[in-house]
Amino acid sequence: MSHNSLLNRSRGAASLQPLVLLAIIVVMIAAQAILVPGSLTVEQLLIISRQASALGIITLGQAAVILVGGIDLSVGATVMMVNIFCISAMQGSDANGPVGLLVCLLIGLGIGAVNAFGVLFLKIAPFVMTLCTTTICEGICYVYTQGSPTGSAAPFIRALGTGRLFGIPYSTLIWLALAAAMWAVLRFTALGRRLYAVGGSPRAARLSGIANVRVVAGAYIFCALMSTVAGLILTGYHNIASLTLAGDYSMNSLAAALIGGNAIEGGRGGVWGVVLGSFFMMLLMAILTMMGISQVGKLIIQGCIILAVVAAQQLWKKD
Amino acid sequence: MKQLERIRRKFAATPQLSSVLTICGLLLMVFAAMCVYSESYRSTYNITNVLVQCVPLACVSLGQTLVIISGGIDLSVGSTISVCTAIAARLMGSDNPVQVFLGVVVVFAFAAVVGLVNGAGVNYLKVPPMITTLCTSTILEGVALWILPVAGGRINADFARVVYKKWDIISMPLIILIVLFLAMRYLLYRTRTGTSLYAIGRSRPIAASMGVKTTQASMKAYVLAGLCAAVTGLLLACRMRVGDPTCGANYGMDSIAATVIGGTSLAGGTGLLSGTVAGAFLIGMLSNVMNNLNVNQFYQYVMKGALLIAAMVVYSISDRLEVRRRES
Amino acid sequence: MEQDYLEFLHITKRFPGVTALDDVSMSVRRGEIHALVGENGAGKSTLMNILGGNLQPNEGELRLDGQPVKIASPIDAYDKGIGFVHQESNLLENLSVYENVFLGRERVLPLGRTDRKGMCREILECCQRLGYQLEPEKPVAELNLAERQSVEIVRALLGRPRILILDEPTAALAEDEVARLFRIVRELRQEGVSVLYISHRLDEIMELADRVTVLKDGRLVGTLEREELDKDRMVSMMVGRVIEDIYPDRSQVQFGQELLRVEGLTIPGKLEQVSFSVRAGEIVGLGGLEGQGQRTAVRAIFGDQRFSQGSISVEDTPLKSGGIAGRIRSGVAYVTHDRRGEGLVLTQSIRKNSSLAALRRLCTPLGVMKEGEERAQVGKQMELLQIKASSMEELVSHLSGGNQQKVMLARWLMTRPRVLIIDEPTKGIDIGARMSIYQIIHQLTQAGIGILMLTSDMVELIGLSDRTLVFYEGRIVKELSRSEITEERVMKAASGMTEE
Repeated sequence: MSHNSLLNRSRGAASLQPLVLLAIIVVMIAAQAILVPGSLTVEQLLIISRQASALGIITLGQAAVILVGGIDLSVGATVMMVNIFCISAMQGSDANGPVGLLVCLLIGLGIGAVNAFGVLFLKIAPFVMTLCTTTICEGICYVYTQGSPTGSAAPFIRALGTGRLFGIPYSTLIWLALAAAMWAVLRFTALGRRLYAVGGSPRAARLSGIANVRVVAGAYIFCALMSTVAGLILTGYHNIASLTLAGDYSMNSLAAALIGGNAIEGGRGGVWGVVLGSFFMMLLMAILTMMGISQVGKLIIQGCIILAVVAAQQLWKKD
Repeated sequence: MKQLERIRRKFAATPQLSSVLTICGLLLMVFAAMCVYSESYRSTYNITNVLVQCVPLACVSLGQTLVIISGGIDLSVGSTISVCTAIAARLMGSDNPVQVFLGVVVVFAFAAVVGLVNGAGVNYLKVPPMITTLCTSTILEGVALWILPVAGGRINADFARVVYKKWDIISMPLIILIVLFLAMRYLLYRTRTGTSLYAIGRSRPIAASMGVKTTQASMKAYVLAGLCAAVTGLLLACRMRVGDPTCGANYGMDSIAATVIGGTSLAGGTGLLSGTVAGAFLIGMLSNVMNNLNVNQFYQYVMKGALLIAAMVVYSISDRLEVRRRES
Repeated sequence: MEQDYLEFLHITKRFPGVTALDDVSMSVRRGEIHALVGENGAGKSTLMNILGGNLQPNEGELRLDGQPVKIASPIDAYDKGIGFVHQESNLLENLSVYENVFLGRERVLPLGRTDRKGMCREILECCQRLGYQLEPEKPVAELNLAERQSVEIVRALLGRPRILILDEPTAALAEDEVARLFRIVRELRQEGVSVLYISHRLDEIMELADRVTVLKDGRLVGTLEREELDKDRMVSMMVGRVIEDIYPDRSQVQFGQELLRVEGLTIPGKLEQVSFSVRAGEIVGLGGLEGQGQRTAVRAIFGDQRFSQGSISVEDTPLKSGGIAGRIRSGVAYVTHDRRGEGLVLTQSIRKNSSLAALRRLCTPLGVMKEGEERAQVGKQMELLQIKASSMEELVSHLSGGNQQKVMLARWLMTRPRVLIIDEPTKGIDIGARMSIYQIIHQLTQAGIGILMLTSDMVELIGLSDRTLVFYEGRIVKELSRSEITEERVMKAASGMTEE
């Protein structure tokens, strides 16, 4: 085989990955239509897209951090903190809206900045640093609420979580808008170039005069802000303050980003793969629920499928 | 003089050693302060209890340390512990000693299989360790709930009593920890496997080119981590006398914390078992002290995070000093 | 004695985009020192890596003692009696000397215990025989380059090799250490070991070798017997033409104003009072053994390394802080020696790699890339530098070494530099690309750019530099002009010896 065709094939593989994922999703939807006749409607897909939007938005942030060679396990804790403090600050009234949003913004910026500071200046491994912020944030939430949070969201936040525009949930639209914005940044701007370069080879980026510190710090702060947006959407949807609402977002966003074709070592990946990855995760959960599979079965199937997808990608890459 | 030189050499070879001593000093200080502060604390009964409380975390952290030294990470030990207590509670309730013994065998066999699966994912499927063990962790959570949907079952009372037997300050869990620690120490510092683990943690390609059986070494690390988790699982089951399908949840992260606080680098290739034990005891004792002082238990989360950050900061500073020393 | 022990038969090795070895056949006798010479990129290292089990040939076979063998891996080579001492240390820093020496074949006592004392004793015995001073329990991280090499040699020799490969063994050694190495190599010859010796230093080869095989552009030029050895002849075989044809004729070059001035640059323990200047149109070469501070100096100039004392100015403007980005704005550029490790972003295309250092020039104030302009500029550079690729969207990882190096040059030329620092301009590059890179460097100086060049290739240093500064222990110990420079004078200065 000539050198050139080898080259074309491997370049094709990178752009092919989201398409493969899309194909898998189509197959799954078809399987659902066959397994549970009559369950497949546009409405159902819209609901799944709404369910996927919070994870999807977090995963956008996670993808940015992974792109620069890091990892952020504190996204779940950020969601939790935003949820608790947003409700606490707004007290179910629109009048307190600006204050509540400001608090949430500060939480997002703060967590992102702390993560970036630890990773970049204290030189703590991203995994450990974001784990630390996770436990600290969780601790703060527990202490603040004494273990039993109360209150409800302001109406406009509730609208954010449940409302629709032309039948499409707001949260889905926000998700897609953010994804499009991120895609544009990565595709068309110098910042996008810097993100890929820092992730692909930190030393090469540094020696080309790129301020790695700023780029990486930006990625962590962006990730925390995405988690903040997701936190607000979830708060609006569930309309409660809860210590368990944040769930497994850290692990799931990591899984979604990797399924979407982002390389854990950084420097490779795109936005649309990540969007599909998040949708895939939620679709999988929805179908498993629809088929009446218990929590136990879901956990086992979820673990197996993520492992299989990542393993397949690794083997593909080797090829 | 020769002895002194050996000690100096040892410190030079393992810069983490001084941090281990620092942690031990810190432990003694916390301990001394509590003994002065509280009369109930300095009772033999309490001291024995404190030590026993720290043992489960220390055991699982020893296995975690091996994996981290080899350049991997095992996030599944927590769920492995949960499954082990669930299996134990299902199989070891009988009064028949043979069946209890068989239960122990099944628990260890299961943990070894988990280790093999993790190792296979990392070494053969080439999935990054974090993802592999995250997936097995999710799967094992499901398995634990499948075996035992809610906390329950029964552990043979005689067996549990033997495992938790106490003589003054010495107790069975402490002896188990010491035996496990010595065995691991022997393996890590005195055998080829140990050298191989350090070697593959630093650079797998170089180690392979020098003839290290890298896959074999890495598999061993994951299997041993599974077995250590099984020890912790059995200890927890005997303490509760029942099984709990979620009781291991925090041990994954805590064992990493103990390892890292003990001076093992997440990058792999360096680390000490004694540091890990000290780290586990530090985490355990601080929790205990906070309980004792009636501090809101939720502050313990904050404490753990802050402690981990502090440890990492100290290490990164001492690493930089070390690099500077070597360069000049 | 005269029997061929090791034979390479019609070895061909291709890498993506380049044929590193083309039908190379050679043989090595029992108990001889067989030198392998050739310029950078001639294929010496590739051939040795095939023998050492690091690479598999695409065609051809190896024969040991007349029997065809397949060497599957480095450890397989070791078991077959082939010892390999690498140019760049191949040790694990976190382990001690004895653990490194015995890694993968530890002596084991009952109960699986490793025999630490026994292993240390063996190392000490071996060291005593060779005249090394090694402490077996010392961690390798604390050893210097020469000591690390001796660890590799001990490791190789404890395997009782019948063939020993030494790849540029003297690059980091001072003169007395070189003498010791030569003594060891001669003793091994006495014992019937075949030594394959790679070096850039022809004086050494004249002194040591029994036979010399010359490679050029991945092809065998020929093997010279001891009595045929002659420096000029070797050079013309290596180069394939007279030296004047390879290196541009720089005798008529005029230098302009001073572009870069470095004064009293000091980093405790690494650099001491380094002062020099580079004029417009001049090529200043930095020579010396490896690790004597040359690289530290240029990294300090480029802002990658902090320094405690001294000043650096470009065109009489002192450089303030501002890090690498500031240096780039002031017109300094640095082409690294480690192209794959810290030069190129291997996951990306030629276009994105080329524009990486000049992003500021290529985007609007809002940060949106002006892609049309980017394409035009990259296209211009590709044409200028004759980068061979199907398009500018091709991944750099698919390019040959020479084209990769040209992409690095394109990246820096797009920043419009005044001073261009090039670290190892032709490492791992075939001869065609080398000549064109020399031509490019020459043309750049004619356009008024000042060049600061680091190289470990003596021929290149002598052939290209207008002025050579030799480093030893962090200081500049010798300055040689084009008319004064000889290989011997550089080596003497590089070993810290003064000329009588």
